[in-house]
Amino acid sequence: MKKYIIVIILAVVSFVAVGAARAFDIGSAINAGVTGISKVAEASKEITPGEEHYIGRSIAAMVVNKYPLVQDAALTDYVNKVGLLVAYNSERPETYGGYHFGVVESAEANAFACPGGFIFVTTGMLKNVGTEDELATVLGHEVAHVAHRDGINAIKKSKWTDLGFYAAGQAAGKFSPDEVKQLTSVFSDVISDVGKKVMESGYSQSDEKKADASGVRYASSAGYDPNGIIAFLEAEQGKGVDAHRGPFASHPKTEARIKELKAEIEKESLSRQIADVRTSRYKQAVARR
Amino acid sequence: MRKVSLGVLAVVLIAGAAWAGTMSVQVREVDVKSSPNYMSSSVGKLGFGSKVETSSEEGGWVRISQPAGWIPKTSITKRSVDMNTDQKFSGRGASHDETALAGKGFNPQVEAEYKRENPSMVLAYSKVDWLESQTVPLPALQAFASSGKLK
Repeated sequence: MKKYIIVIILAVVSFVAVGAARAFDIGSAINAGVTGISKVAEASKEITPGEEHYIGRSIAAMVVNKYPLVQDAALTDYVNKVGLLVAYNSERPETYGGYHFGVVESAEANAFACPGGFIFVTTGMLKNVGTEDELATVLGHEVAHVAHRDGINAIKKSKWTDLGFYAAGQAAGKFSPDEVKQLTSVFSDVISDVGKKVMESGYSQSDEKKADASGVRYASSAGYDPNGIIAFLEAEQGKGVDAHRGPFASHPKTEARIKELKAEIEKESLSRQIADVRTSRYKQAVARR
Repeated sequence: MRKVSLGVLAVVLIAGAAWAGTMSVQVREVDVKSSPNYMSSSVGKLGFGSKVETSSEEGGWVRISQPAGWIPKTSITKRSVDMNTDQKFSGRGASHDETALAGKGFNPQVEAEYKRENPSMVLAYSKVDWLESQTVPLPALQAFASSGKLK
């Protein structure tokens, strides 16, 4: 009898807990729970996926305004295939407008994750990456920034107040011309905040560590060898590349990063085999760059 | 032992039943899959704001009744989106409904005004449009995964 009572209590608690999560908003609650960034995510839950998409489009425009977009359909198709397989294995496989992966011209090995799923790698990055598995893990790291909403979380708190004001003022339908002007002013500030984070200052070390851990999980779930990221970082280290410059300034030191990644891969038993066919097609896809 | 197993089953069933209800699609368009896997075949598409009847959840996928299939749980929300359930969005052009409903604040209307105020950015946005137009059909992605010995 006692066991029945315990079972019933467990069932009720489970039902109430799940129901409460649903009432709040299942998508936001689950995302926050899975990524473990609940405090900041709480603040960002008012930004809808649609709004995040339009902020992301503008950040993406800022990226391609600074670094020319490589409009090579074959190369873009290849990078998208690798990126999508990784993104589909993340805890946030769907964004409002979907994930889009592009290549931009820059000799510096770099990558940018814009809100909503716009992700760029530089030609310098493709030159330094040696295999498809390495690329998959680099893209996995960037997908994690999108899945964790790190870009959106960069919006300063003061902007939330302005946003809340307009959100409350608009029930449905289009904004009036005056409202659009005021809102565009807030929009400019917001994309400036996020743009600086994505392109200049970089994310916090804590965000980077979480993105590293998530990125190798996504890549491994897709079937890629998560050790790709270690191979890439070790190669960079061997070249004496200064990883603490520009957008990578906030990344943890490479040596510590490699150590933590190895521990994560071992803890999660993520290792997989690198297939030669993937390495060959990577070399073929990026050969022209 | 049997009683405990029955109890665990009861908890699982009740938790699963919590997904039963009506939710709204919160992404521009979502593929409805025949099974809870991105590589499975598509049985239809649902546009932003479509209402879906959900019944259960499995590994990040939610079963829906119309069309019968599975969609990622991150593609739907409990929040009500007030629009014609048959309305679908296609392409990148902003329809009136999308303008009205894509967000409470930042939407195509605001982006258009931002571009008007920053004409030097118009070309950059057109490149982003190009990037958004570069899509990968499912069969091509399936073939890519298969030939690369991926999942």
